[in-house]
Amino acid sequence: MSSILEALLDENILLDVRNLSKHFPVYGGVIRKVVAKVRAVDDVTFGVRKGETLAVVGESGSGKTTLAKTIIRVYEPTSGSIFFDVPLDIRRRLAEAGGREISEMYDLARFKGRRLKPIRRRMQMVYQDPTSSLNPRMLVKDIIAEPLKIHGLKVDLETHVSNLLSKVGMSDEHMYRYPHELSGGQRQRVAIARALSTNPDFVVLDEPTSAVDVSVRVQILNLLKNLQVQMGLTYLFITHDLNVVDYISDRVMVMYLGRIVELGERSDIFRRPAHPYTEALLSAIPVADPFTARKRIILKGEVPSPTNPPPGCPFSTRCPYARERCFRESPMLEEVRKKQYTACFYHLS
Amino acid sequence: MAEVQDLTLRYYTYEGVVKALERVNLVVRTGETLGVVGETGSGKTVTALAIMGIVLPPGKIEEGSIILHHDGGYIEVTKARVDVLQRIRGRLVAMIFQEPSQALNPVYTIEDQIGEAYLTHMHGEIYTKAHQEVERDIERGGIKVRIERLMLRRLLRNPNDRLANFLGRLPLLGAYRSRVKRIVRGMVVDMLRQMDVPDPERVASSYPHELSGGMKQRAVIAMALACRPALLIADEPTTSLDVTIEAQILELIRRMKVRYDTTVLFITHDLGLIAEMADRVAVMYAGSVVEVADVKSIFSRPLHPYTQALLRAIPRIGVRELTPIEGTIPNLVNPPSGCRFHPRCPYAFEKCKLEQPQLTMPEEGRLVACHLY
Amino acid sequence: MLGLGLNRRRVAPRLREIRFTLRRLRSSPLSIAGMAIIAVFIAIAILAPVLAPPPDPNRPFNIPRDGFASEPRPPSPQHIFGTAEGQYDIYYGVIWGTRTAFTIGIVVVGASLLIGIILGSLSGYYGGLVDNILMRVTDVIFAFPGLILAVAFSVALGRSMESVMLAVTLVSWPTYARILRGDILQVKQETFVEASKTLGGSDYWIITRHILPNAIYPLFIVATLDIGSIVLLAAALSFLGIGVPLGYADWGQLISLARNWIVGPPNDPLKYWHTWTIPGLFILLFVLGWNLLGDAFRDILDPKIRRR
Repeated sequence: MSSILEALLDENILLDVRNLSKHFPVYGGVIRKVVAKVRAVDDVTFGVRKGETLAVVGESGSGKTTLAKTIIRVYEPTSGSIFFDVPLDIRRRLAEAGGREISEMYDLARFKGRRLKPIRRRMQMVYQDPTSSLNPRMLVKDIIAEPLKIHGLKVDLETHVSNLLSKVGMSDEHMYRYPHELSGGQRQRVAIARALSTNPDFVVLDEPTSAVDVSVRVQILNLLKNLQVQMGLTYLFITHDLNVVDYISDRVMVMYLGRIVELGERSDIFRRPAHPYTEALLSAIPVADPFTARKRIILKGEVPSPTNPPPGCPFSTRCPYARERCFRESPMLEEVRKKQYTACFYHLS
Repeated sequence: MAEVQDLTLRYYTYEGVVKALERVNLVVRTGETLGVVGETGSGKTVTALAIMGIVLPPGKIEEGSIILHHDGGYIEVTKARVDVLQRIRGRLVAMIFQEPSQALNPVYTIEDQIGEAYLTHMHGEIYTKAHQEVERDIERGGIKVRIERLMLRRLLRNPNDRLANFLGRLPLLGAYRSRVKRIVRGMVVDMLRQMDVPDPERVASSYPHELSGGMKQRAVIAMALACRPALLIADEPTTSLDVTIEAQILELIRRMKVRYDTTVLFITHDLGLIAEMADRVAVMYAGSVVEVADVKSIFSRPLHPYTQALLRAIPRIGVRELTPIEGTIPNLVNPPSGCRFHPRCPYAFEKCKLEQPQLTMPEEGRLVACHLY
Repeated sequence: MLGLGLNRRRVAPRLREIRFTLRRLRSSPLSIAGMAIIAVFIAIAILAPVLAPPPDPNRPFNIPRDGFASEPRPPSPQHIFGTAEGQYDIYYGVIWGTRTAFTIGIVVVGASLLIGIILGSLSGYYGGLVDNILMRVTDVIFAFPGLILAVAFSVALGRSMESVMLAVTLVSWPTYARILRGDILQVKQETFVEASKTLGGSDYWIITRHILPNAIYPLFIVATLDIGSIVLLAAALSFLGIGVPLGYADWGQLISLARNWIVGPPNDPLKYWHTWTIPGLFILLFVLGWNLLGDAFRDILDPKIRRR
């Protein structure tokens, strides 16, 4: 665990997340007591470097979407810290005396209400389903201009929207249309334009290509890549599609049942996965190549419920290599190779 | 096994006439797994529904035919009567859909729903089993059991026998009804066990909302295969499932195909699934079939420009260069003239705008609908 | 020049939507019937001074009386629809009663909508204690039969058209608040609402810009349907003798005057048919018209059915 924290003490880190947890209470009984907790995100620590694309992969129940929404403060974290664009020397002092005050001032997890508003200009989100993330009764122009109006930015709305539209590959004539008059791919571009309206530094993308046609997917991905370079953006890219991850990411983070099980550079993750779950995921993806016969690892069973995670390693119930220790203790994230972190006692390297 | 010939289907909607299918030609050979690839608007789902005889209004089949071969005879689905269609659905052809929650009725247990398939199509087996049981009990039982035997003998000869059905409804013969229920439940649990469902007894008694996505999809597959259909149509069966569960389901479909000797029509937009599951592949675009070939040829040497573009445009592990396909999927109310792909085709020439190409056979075992060939 | 062009483009998509709505409206025979009926009533209301010139221009709503005899007189050339008890001219009463009906209908529905929307929005959006309190208040109001409650309010506030309107409003707003609250709870969960929060929108912004425009249409449909029922309720109050003062041009009032004459002498039971049939017919057609129109709106504005 210490090595992850060490990696965070780098001046290039734009987003510094420590021990972040988000639990949802489950109410039961007549008096609505808390009967159980859904541990959607459980003690997560990682960092995102300026200008990179960090892909977060996992299946349903992994907590990746909850993580994204917690970082962007749609949800209030149950515990842990989020430091966004906080200079290195200040973050260094967190461990020392006076760390409390620093935390108060800079920890996004503690911000409430009005303090969050300026942050929202710099951290934005693109949602999975472009149809439901756009108000069906608003014109494209108003949709894209909304963040400007909210933050009271004094610009000529029409020119600004026009510029954004051309940045995402659409034309002025789309300004005065309703979302239902556009195709799926176009709607997603509008959603992207909206997210870029206030010139943010950090964009969270929640499966932005899943709801879009296969042939359009690449258009959106290429667009995102170009915009990243043009505008100096940092991406947190949530997806379950490893093919997309290979195309667009710099580093990859694998999640299972609310915890990080592996984190590393893209090529390392794909070529030399250290965690059994990553290995199984990679082997489960259908590959568009009928010529190579693959040995597929087919996992038994299903993902356990997040209200009742297994004691010990969360993956122990399905891991083909599980041994006695795995059922008792929960492994921490450790550096197994240079810049590759895995949470497994018997990792594959 | 199944032949779709020149199928043309249109939807008459408020916004105009949607030319959903335009002279679709497809052949599904007995015993194979035919993969159908296409994106939104390609018409793949509509074709599958049409094979089942399900054309929802405002859709209308304008021309063409769908022929299902079976047991030496054949059925012309486009012209068949409703009662004939009802008999073949589930028995000859079965379908599984993308969203298992939509295929399952939330107010009935799994046992009821899969049981429904058995009760509709497999009376023979049920009555036979019941009769065997009754014969065993005949010594011990009294008059009720004798009445049951009488009923079952009549039902075995004619499932629609009115006297037997009437008797079956009488309150006194509760034993008969629970016997049938028990037998059906046994068949359901058996089927679920074959689907690799852990604890099939519990799952059979569960309601759909109590089960996970993967489990629901297994139940749906069990429903579809319950009556051993000759043709199984799977329309994006794993799109809503996690990758690791998807692997399990695909493995299951493969195994079931071997065990029951089923022909599979596998519809998807995911080329990876096609490479995994299909023997032959049909590529559809904007309402017609543009290429058909065996799976290896489709990937190694695609002939149609759309297929080529598609292979270059989808994210694949290890591929660093991807080229998107220019343009967008055409509006089917006002599709492009001639070949519907011509506005996006790098090789388009004059003829492509004027005439829609038909499927020709440029080589052995391959079909392409393109003026280049 | 550029400004003009762009403005036309801004208007164009909204116009397209409106035109689409109008086209849909014209398509159904029922909605055409509803619109026709209401159109006729609107015409009557506007042309009231022409159709039935008031003897005293300062008090047009006082129905002129031709004498003081109690027995109603049948239709005749001087009194086209005859007279009611006390010799009130029925024709005059129903013509000017149209204006009264519209006034009551629109004012009451308008006021109820306003209160219902404000309280319903707060309740639906914030939930918690606010929601709880408001819902209990509406529960209390619902516990009483509407008519009885309206009667109670009316009597307490005195006999006048204003008190009728106030009473009916107090009884009607909870329905709208409830409906809106339900729709808001649903819209609240839409992704674009969350997206607006992520963008930094305040509660007020989200409610007014996103939630209300999407949640309010079903409410309008109910409100349209209600105009008919509210006029009916007001007529009932008048029939019971509460509400508008004696001699005021109001359909309910006219029926009230017919109370003793509904069944005539044994040899000619329908002798006084004109006293209750004619005002009754007006009420019936008015309510029917609004109901048809409301139904048509519902089919048209529901976004799921819209694009069929």
